[in-house]
This record gives sequence, C-alpha cells and structure tokens, in this order.
Amino acid sequence: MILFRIALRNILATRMRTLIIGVLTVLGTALVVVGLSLLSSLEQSMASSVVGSVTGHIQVYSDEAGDKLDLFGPPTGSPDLRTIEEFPKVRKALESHPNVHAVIPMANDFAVVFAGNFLDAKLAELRQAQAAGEQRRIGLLKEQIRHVVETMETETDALEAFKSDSTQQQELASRRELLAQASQTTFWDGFEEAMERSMEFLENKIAPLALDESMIFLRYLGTDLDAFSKNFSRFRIVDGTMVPPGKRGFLFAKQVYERQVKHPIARRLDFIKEGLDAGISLESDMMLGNFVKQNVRQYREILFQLDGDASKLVAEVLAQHLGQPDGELSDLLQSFLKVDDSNFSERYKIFYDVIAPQIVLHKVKIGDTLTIRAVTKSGYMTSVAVPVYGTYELMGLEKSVLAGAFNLLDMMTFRDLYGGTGPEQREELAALVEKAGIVEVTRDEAEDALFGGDPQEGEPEEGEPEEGASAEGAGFDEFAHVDMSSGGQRYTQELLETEYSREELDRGIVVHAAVVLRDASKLEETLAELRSLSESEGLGVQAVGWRDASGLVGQFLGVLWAVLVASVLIIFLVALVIINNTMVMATMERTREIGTLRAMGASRGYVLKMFLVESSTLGLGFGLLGMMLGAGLMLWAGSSGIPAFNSELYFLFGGPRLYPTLLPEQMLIALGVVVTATVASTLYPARLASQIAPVRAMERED
Amino acid sequence: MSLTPEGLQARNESIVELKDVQKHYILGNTIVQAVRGVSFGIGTGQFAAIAGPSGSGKTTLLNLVGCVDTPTSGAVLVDGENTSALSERALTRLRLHKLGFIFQSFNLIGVLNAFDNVEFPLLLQGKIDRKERRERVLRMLEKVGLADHLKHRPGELSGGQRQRVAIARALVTNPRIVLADEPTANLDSKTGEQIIDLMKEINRTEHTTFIFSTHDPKVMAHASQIFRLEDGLVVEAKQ
Repeated sequence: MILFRIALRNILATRMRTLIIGVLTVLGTALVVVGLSLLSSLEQSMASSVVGSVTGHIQVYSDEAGDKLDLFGPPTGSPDLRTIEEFPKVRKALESHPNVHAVIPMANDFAVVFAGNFLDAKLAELRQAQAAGEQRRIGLLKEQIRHVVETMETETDALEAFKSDSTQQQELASRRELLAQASQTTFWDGFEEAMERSMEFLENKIAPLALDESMIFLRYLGTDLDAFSKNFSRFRIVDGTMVPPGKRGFLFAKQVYERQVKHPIARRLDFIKEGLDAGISLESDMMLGNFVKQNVRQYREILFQLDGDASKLVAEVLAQHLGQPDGELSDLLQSFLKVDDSNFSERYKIFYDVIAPQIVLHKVKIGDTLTIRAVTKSGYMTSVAVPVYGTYELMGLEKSVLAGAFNLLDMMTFRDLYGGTGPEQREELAALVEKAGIVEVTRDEAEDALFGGDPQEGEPEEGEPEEGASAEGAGFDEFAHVDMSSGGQRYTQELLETEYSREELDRGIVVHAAVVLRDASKLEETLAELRSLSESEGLGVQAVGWRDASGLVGQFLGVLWAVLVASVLIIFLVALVIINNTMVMATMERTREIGTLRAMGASRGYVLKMFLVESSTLGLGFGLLGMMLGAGLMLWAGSSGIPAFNSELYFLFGGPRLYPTLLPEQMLIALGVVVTATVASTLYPARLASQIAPVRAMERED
Repeated sequence: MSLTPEGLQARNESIVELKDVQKHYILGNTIVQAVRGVSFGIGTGQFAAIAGPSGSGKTTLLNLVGCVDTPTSGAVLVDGENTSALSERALTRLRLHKLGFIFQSFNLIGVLNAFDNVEFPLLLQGKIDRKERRERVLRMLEKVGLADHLKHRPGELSGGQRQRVAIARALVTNPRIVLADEPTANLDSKTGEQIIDLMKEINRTEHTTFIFSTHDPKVMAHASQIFRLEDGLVVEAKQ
C-alpha cells in the first residue's frame, strides 16, 4: 500500500512535527488509560467502602421524605426523611425479591455528648461514696479533689498571659476568687459539716472551671445490631464485646473512640507516632509540630488528673528521664511533652507505661453508661442512657474517617432519642407525674417528660405493657447533673437488661433500611424492580442505589468522572489545535508535491486519503505507545498499590492502598479517543490539501 | 499554416488543438492577459517546442494543454476532447491516462525512491497487477539508464538522474502526450543535452508526442515544431 508507505516515510521525514504530535498523542493516550483505569478502580473500591460500611447496595426510605437521604452528608440540620411505616411489612416484601439477601433497619442522627471533666467524675464518685457511707473512700476522694483544686489555683497565674481583654480579665478574676475560696483550709475543714452545700459549690462553681471539659460530637446509627453485624461482612468488634442480641447497647466506632473520646494529649501523641511511622519528621512537618506545641500548652490536662500519689510517681520518673531531679511537676511535664524526633519513641513509651495508667485515658470507658442528649423530632431535648459495650471497626476501612464515623446503637435507644415512645417511657412518665411534687425537675426534663410521651405517636404500642419495665422510675433528676456517669444507672438498670424480641425491635423508629443484595452486578435491575414492588404493594418507600444514598461522597465520584471527561476534552481540543496547525503547515510545505500528484492524475479524494492515512498512522502508532505507557503505569500501580495518603483517600480507596485494575476495553477506548482526535484534527488540513490545484505543480523552485 | 497535403494531414492528425484561446488572470486589481488569442495544432508524434521569453505566456499555454488549467475563452482540444467542457474529475482522469508531465524542478516525491516514484502513476491508474507494474517500471528505468539506482531517493541522485526518473515516471503509463516545462532549465548544458537526446529518442521509438516549453536554443534545434510566443501571442510558427 503506497499510501501507507508515503505516510510512514513522511512521518519519518518530518521529525519535529512527528515529535510534537507524537508526544501529544502518547501523553493523551496514557492519560486516558490511567484516568479510566484509576476512576473505574476507584469506583469499585469506593463501592466496596460505601456498600460495606453502612449503605448496603440499596437504601430504602419513606417516599414522603422531603429531603434526600445523604448518609455521609455534613451533619447540618436534620433532614426531613420521615419514617418507614410498617417496617416488618416492607422487609417482608423486599426480602421476597430473589436478589435481596437482607434488609437491615436503620436510622441515623447525631448528638452532642458532654463528657464531663475529671473533676465532675471525681465528684460523682464522691457522691456515690457518700451514699454508700464508705468513709475511707470519701477521705481519699476528698484529698484528690482538694489536690486538683489547689493545682487549678496555682495554675491560674499561668493563664494570665493568654487573657488580654477586659472581659477575659474579669473572668480570670472571678476564677481566681472562686478557686481561692475552694482551696482555703477552712473550706476543707468544714467540708463534712456542710457536705451538701460544699458539694454543690464544687459541682456548680468549681468543676466548670476545669479545663478539660469537652463535648463529643457523635454521629450514630440506630440499627438492628445483630443483623448489622451479620450482613456487613467487614464488621468486627475491636474492644469489649458485641451488644447481646435484643439488648440496648452502644458501640463506638473505633476511630471515633480513639480520636474523640481519648485524652487529647494521648491522642496527639498517637497522631505524632502515626506520622513518624509514616516517615514524616517532626522537624519538617508543621501539623505535627503544632501538635507538640498544643501538648506542651495543655499539660494541665494531665496535671489536673494526677492526685497526690500519682503526681509523686510521675514527677519521679520524669525527673529521672529528663535529668532534673528538683524539677516541679508542671515544669517536668512541659519539658517532657516537648518531644522531638530523637526522643519521641522513648517518651511515647514512658507516657503509656507511666502516665496513662494514672489518668483517664478515655472519657468514656467500655462498660460505662453513656448518656446521650439529642434534640428529638418534636424539638425538645431528651437524654437517654445506654451502656457502651465496645468498639467496632470495618475491616479494610479502619482508617477511613467517613466509614468510621458512625457509632452504632440499638433501635430502642434510637427510638427514645428520636422521640418515639415505648411503653417504658409512658411508665416513666407516669412515675414522674406521681413524683412531680417531690422531685426537682429541671426545665429540660420537664419538657421532656411533659411532651415526650406524645400518646399519638405511641399508638401501636398501646396496651402492651413491658413486663421488665420499671414502674419506679426513680432518680430521674440525676440526669441533669451528670451527663456521662453511672448516674443514670439506677433508672435504666432494668431497661438495659431487657431483651427485646425481633417484633419489638421492628416497631422502633426505622428511618431508612439497607438492602444487601446477593448479586451486586444486578443492582440497577433490582433497584427498578424494588421500586415497582413498592408501588404495587403500597409499601410507601423509595429505593436509591448506594451512589445516591451516599450523597456527596457518591457525587464525588461523579465529579471525578466529570474532571476526567473535561481533561480528556481539553487534551482533545489542544491536540486538535496543535495537530491541525502543524498539519496545515505541512500542507503548505507540500503544496508543490501535492500539486504534482494532482497533475499526474491523483484525484482529490486520493489526496484526502493520503493525509488521513498519515494522521491515523501517527495516531495509531503513538496511541499504541501511549497505551502501553499508561498500561505499564497502571500495571505497576496495580502490583504495588497507590497508598492512601489521608483518611478521605482511605475511604475512597476502600483500604490502605488502591490496586487499580486495567481492562482491555479501557485501553481500546483510550486508543479510539486519541486516534479519533488525531484524525479529526487532520480533517481540515487534509481538505485544504485536496483543494490544491494541479497548476501548483508548475511552481518553480527558487 | 498552408493547405498543402502535409498541412492537411497534420491538422487531421492533431492531437492537440487550440482555437482562439485566451487566458486572463486577475492579480489584485489588474487583469493579466497571459494568452491573448492563440490558435494552433500539434500533430501526433511531434516534438514541439513553445518558445519565448519569460512572461510571454508559454507556461500558461502548457498548463492549458496539460489540462491543469482551462482557458478563459476559446477551446483547447486534447485528443479530441474540449477541456472546457470537462468536469474536474474528467480532467483528472484525462491527465492520468493520456498525459505525462516533466517539470523544471523534477517534482519527484522526496520520500519515495526512484522505483516507487516511477511506479506511482501506475498505482494511481490501478487495475495493473504487481508483476506487470514491476516489469514496466524496470523497463522504463532501464531505458533512462537508471536500472541500478532503483532504491535511491531523489536526494541521493544528481539533477540529471532526477530528471531521468521524472521522464521514466512521465512515460511509464504510455501517455499520448508528454508535457515538459523547461525540462533542462535546472541542468547544466551537457546534462541538458543528454536529457533532450533521451526525450528525442523516446519520441522516435515510442511515437509519443512531446510538447515542451523552453527558451534554450539548443533544445529548439531538436524540435519538429516551434511556436514562438511574445506577449501572449504566437509570433512565429515553424514546422
């Protein structure tokens, strides 16, 4: 084929032009190959992240919902999702579909948990000791509290540097006054006589001054824990135990537990360790450096928690380690926390071996009862106590912030938080009403009690008194003072031991439900079938695929696709312009040659063909080269994996590394796109060439 | 032209005939009258020269005869066909099958070797099998004395050799007419003479009609017909 030979020789003859077009084509093809491979691999891994964490393949929720379900969306406001009425019926109908493996009821919300500070915890312990009349323990706790208060007072001077404006100065003055009052010997001498007054003073005035008071922001998913753990194969208990079937219980997401519940200094040390393990140096990294600075600044978080014996022990160890035998504990702590690359690992060990056992490492311990305060759907505050059984993680997604954002709790507790009423609550209400005259009821609880048990909402449960429910409902008021403590235990003890049947669980509040499929590849068909099923059976639910259900996260993938398509288009355009220009120039240069061909009897079509053969040869040749380059890159990436540098990537990658796969059709698409681009960009110059008149052959060579 | 028996014969056998041919170009705002009413005939097997100084219109005339251009008025008949009446496509076909071109600057395809260059018009014609093509190309290259330069690219050949390749290319399709535009202008006089001798030789043995433009007196000495042009008009016609 002479045309091909001419094309090839022309390609070889005009090196510069060939180089320009070649580089463009190779890069273009490689980019398309890499882009396609990465994105579809990303899509797959993300699918496994999203599907495997909470979403399942399909989510169903009420078709009367005013908002769209967005499981990973930012926690702003409460979306109007309504609830799934008659969940058992919905589940039964959905599970009748041959491709549906399981339907897991869910509801998600968020709440702020006030993790009381160290002083609060000690005071609560003191109250317990008083109630039990344990004199020795009372004495011990009293000493500890007194030590903390004194430490707070001496540390107040250090705060002065940070408080500059007048309001802050005022605050500081009142703080100093209060602390001075609390550390007076007379206050402690007269402590037992004026026990109640002293306690209240400490609880209400002094405890809020402690620095480590913090809120924990919790996102929780109420679900059938048993079904959840069985159907999400990545689920694994890390600490503690699984919530027994049918019981009320709370499981922290391991990540939330380590990042939000842990002592801030320990948490930062963990972060630093992670960074150093990843090869980052403290000296060069701003963020890690800031963590060190924060730790040094917040050394009081440790100091306040150390009582007499503990502070002696810690001071001794630190003094020895730092070689400052006469150092004050506060100075020792500060210089100890000023870690650098050389001493970090040793100090990290000392921290966990010596200091950690003396302080409260996690504000909520496994086995504690967590009191969650949330705004119910009717708009009032409610508090619900629930035992923390343990922490869980999703295997392969351990470090993913998004996948690890949901803490799990049972449906019953969720219902209470949501504002639904069960028989227990009505009984509590009754008890409350009975005791109304003698129990001090705070504003919050009053609203809770008065409006919480909306009888209309509770209709289905009517007339089915819970046998295990307590009619006494005592100690309701303790909620007000102790958000996180054993304070609520007396009231909930029996509730917490109640085992609920599947039937009862189903009557909880179900806002949405995850549908786990047997064959994920039939997602779209199943989705359509479930939709029509809901319509024909009048289930009143709408079904969305995991991509839609995961809201922004799912859209992120769409954005990535758009970016890929856009960049391919841009490359296409740039190639079009550059190749077009070079080819137009080539046409000009070859005017006489083309004229000669025409004079010799070559038709216009022949000239057109000549150019197109040339450009498609170029496109195909370099396209293949680029394809191999891209494929090589992807194969290499596929074997070694692309590391997830941060937690968001971790979620997207569905694990610590993304192992992209490359499909033959992706390579062919890339080649097709690039050859099309090259050929398209030659159309105009080829047409121009075909219009060169044969007379041009006569032009003289000057 | 007289009405002698030879003259009549010549007219009857004219392979190219020009009837009051005019050709105007528009160059900017002015009309250039390149050919201003020319009539003559060229008989089959002639070795005809169109002579004249630069700008006299000889190249224009050659283009008209070579069917790469059509007249503004008048008629050009090539092998009996009026070129003004033919479509672009038909003209292309006419050039492909009946005409051969030799250019002043040789106009070989730079990226192809001698063999490929000569073979090219046969490929354009199509319908000739590989073996026959090869035979014809080899025979032509042998005839022009380049049998051992088949694989040489134009860049590797001398001017004379390039023009020989061009002659082979023009003749390989057995055209009725070969048009040569100042074929010796880019060659030294000795080589030029050899090229003229070669063309004359082919004219004699193959009876191919040659029409060339030139202002080289040595070339004109070989011509059987000479049309001298000045300012777009034939001022002298020698048989």
